[in-house]
Amino acid sequence: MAITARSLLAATVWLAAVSAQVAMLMYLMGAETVAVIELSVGAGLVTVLFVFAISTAGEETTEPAHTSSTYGVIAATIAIITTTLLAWMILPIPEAAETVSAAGLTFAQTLWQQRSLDTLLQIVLISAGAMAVLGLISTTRDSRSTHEQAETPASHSDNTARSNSKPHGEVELPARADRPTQEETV
Amino acid sequence: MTTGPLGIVFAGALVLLGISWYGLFVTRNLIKVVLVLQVMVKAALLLLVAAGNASGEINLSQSFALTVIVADTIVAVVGLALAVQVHRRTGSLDVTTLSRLKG
Repeated sequence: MAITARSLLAATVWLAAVSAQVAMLMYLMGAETVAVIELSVGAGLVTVLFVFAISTAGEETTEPAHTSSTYGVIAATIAIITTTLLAWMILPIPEAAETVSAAGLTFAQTLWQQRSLDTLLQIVLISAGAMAVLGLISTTRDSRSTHEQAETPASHSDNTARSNSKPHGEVELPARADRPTQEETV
Repeated sequence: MTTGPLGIVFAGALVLLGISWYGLFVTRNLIKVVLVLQVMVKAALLLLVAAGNASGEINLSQSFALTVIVADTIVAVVGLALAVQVHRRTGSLDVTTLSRLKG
């Protein structure tokens, strides 16, 4: 339903439902910590991000009208073949092990001692995500200021040439020097 | 091969992976492409935790899953920011409009 829904908002709500279901299965399999994180991040934060992006970019329900039936059949065939190959690789499924951890380490010990490099990687990723969020927010700010500055002539020569070649509403922001950069904002 | 609860989880995750794989082929809306990628990563997460449960290393698989969740969220944020930028410059979210871009 998340994939076949025509409305983007409906698809986002279905994605949140899938995330909640995945979190429930994780909890049942004994991964309580990750289940809570998945529920809060997958069903909460990501849904809010999608709704924000849809409200910024607008809702376009152009598909699947453009998709021809032949293309759909080919896509389904490829998907079935690859999934069958993957299932053939990972089967037979072993029985669930009784021991929680061979080394006897808790989740916190595993994360901070064995996988400390992953933690550093997560810090880097979160920094990149903060930059991307700033880019997403500044996009809406740019689109508002673009309409205001489209009337006035641009001072920078390169941007002026680019602005003249584009229709109204799609011009680039002429000068960025008056605004702080993303690094300065962080 | 077990037919217990773990087998059902494995089968369900594989079906979810196949559906998202199909969706990645037929989807043309940029925001929906990011959404389908999210579904695909959720299937992979489910397989990861199920594998950890099967091998008895659930804590190790949890730490891996945590890294995957963080990376998945960042991918969603960057993808959505790119989609909004593309919509701002081309006026459309259709991926076929990107083929007309010139460097």
